Amino acid sequence: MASSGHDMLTRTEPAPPDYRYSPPPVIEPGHTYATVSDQISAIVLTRRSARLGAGDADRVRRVNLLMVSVVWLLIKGPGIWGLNQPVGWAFDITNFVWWIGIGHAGTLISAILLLFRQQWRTSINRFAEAMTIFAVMCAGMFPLLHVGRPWLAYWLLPYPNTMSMWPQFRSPLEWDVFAVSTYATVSLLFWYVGLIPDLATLRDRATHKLGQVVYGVLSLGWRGSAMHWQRYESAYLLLAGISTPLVLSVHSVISFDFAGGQLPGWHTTIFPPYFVAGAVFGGFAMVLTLGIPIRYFYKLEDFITDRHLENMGKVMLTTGLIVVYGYTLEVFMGFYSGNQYERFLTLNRMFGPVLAGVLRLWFCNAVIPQFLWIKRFRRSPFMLWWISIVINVGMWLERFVIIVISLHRDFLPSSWGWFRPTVWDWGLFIGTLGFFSFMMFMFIRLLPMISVFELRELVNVTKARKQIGEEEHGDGNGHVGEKRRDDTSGLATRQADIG
Amino acid sequence: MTEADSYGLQRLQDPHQRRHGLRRRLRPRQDRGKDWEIACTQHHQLIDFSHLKDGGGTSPYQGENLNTQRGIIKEINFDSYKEDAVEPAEHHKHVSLYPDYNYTDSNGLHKWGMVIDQTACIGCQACVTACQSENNIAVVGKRQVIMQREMHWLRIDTYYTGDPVTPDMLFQPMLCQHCEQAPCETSARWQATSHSDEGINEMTYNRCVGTRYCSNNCPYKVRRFNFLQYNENLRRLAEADAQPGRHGPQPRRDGEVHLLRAARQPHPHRAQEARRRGDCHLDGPKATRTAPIACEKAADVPGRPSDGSASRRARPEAIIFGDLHYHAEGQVGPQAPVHDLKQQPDGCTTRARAELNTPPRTTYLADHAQLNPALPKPGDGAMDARLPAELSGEDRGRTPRTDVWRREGAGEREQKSAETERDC
Repeated sequence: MASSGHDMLTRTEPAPPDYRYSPPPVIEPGHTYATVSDQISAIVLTRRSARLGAGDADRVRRVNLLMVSVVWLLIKGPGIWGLNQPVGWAFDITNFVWWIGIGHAGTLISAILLLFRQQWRTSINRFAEAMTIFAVMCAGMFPLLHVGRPWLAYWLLPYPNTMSMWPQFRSPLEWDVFAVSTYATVSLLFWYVGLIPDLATLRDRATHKLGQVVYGVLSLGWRGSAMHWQRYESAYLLLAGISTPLVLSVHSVISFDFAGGQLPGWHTTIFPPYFVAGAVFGGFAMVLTLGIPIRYFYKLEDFITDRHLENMGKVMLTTGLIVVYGYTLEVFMGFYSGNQYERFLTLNRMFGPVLAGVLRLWFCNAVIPQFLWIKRFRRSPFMLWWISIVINVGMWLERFVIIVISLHRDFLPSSWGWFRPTVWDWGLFIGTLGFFSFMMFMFIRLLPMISVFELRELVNVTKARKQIGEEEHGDGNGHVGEKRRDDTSGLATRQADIG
Repeated sequence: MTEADSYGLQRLQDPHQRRHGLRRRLRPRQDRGKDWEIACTQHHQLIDFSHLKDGGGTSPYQGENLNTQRGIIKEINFDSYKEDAVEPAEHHKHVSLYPDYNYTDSNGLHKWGMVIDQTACIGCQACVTACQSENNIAVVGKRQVIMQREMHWLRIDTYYTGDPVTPDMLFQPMLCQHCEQAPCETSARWQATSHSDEGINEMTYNRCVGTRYCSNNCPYKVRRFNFLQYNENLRRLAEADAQPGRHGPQPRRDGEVHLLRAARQPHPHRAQEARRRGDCHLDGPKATRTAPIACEKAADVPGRPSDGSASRRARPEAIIFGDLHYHAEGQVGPQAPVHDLKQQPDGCTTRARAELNTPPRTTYLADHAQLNPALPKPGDGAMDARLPAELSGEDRGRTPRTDVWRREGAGEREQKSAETERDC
């Protein structure tokens, strides 16, 4: 226990704040600082058997598939995909928007839930932030690779050059560059800053020389002094504040790619909020898709409890309803606008060649999430996992419908067409899926996937809560969204927790 | 394909038509069971849905006359002209976030514009061929045509009207409209498409990274993209008939930028080049009618001398290109400058999708559909020659129908069977 500087500091526990009105603790009782640190850092520091060997092989295969797809694309050009004249974007931008959306859950969990002092976020924020970063990496591949001359992608940046050219700032694609790069930078910083105390823990616990050196360098000389903690908390809160608008801005800007276009089906003012809700919706689905198996395999049920899953289910239900509202409004506006192209698009979506796709979309995104109204489904990891998979598929279909169905039949019937994906379309998509899970599992093996120091705070909270429960024979079940009445200074309370 | 017995391609059920359109599966007699796909760029402009999954009549819009409903081709006859021409047509007020292009600050000597006379166009595709050869447009090959990736900068859209048994065809050459506020210009990230001081949407190939966003945003879908190394095809072609002094976009001939896309190079660029070379005198009034662009030369009734001699003036031209600065008030005949052709009454001209506020610089002259009363009316039997007296008193004007018809070859008009009528 004393191996970490942080542990030494918290040896004398302060008088706990009044937790009577606070949310209940969100880790299982019976844990101490030591057990928490042990269990989480052991995932990184102890060698594991080849239990997940089959999964590893599968991921490596898919990363190979990604590399083959990219190389072949660079050799041949985007013609290896099924794109054609009316359908200039298909899988490429669908995947781009889908991946970017997935990242949003991480930012929301880490930034907004932190500011709202939702303590249950501590068990999943590290994991979700890592997911954000890897999802943005996957997303970033597509805009770079989908262009005809990817080796000139650096032209997207405004930089002084011999051509005296400046990017076209009226192009929404140029706005994307800034939105996504800001997002990637802030997410990475936020993630790394959050990791620093845990990296120090790993440094102290590592038995291998290499681990000690690497974690030592990465922990930036963290000693856990009170000064460190004070500055650290300020920096973390500031970064949370910077990240918060990004939750809303990034996908709004992505939606401008479409909303700024001429095309019926794209030229819609509802897109920014609708895209943001869809992003959070899909992002939480991905957190569950990955989180539930990991929780099972690494025996983390004590930390990622059923209540975490339930809360994520609630977020999905809420954002899912916003998305359904968006769909409904699109149909309504198709007729209400009086614009014959919009009307045609709506009919084409509903009765055109992709009827099956749209039905699946509604099924996945509107029908299936309604099961989340039922508590039994929200608390069942298995059911929740399946629902999250369905939502992932549904959100991908949504982007596909928005992009391809709008493109394939626009103003002049003479230029109508259809898109057929080729094996390379699928190859790149499945390849990024493999790359994503590959990176996730690398992360799990090399870095603490749950924030150790924040969980240690929760140990304190749990203990205090337990005492109060014994005194007042309360059942310990408050409402999640209920705010602490005595919480005037979040930072001060947080400091007090830590000591 | 060439060895196949073409009669085998017909089905007994519909001996007079090809039912499946572009992606039709063909079954020659000796290769029954094997599938062919016909690569044909003309059939990219199919306007029915029979080749699609939902084309079997289940879709609710199939019977819609998209041409009429969307006002794609304006059709007038004498009666409608009398009514429409006097009424001022509804002008779409141009609203834009961006300031209008200020031509006075530039050194644009010219203001290029084009008028396309849909009455004169007979859909012979000569302008398409001329454009292809003049601009060294890459040919893409059969498989790529099937994937709808042909790189024609100019295409002939065809719509149908009238009696479904013997429909009339309406042709609309569709090419870059050179919008004043072009959606493609705001799409290009590195300003690969820009507005010239002569009013042209210019494509700068070397600045194109190839996001295809311009194509997605183009309401006319006239942007083209070099999906694969089509320049290799082009190089072979170009070497075969290389001409000295050939100019214009040859982005794929340099070989280095092998994935460069060929979006549309504006035709008037041609004229600019010609002016610089001194081939023709574009600054005088007469020359405004004779800017040597390939499609304009080609877009003429067959048999017209192509040497630009005086005889062409007496014949209809479908594509008229010139400098909008020059105008001779009131002249609307075949010799009229572009500017004056554009000034015809509103009922006679149209701009493609003007309601989108792009607004296009190219003007389409409406299709005059005034039949000679002496001609037999289409559809009355198999074009049996009736006496004009029998038909006297009937309205000769074509009435637009509410059907969209499959595009077929021009010679197949009379072959449409009654079955077609049922299907559609």
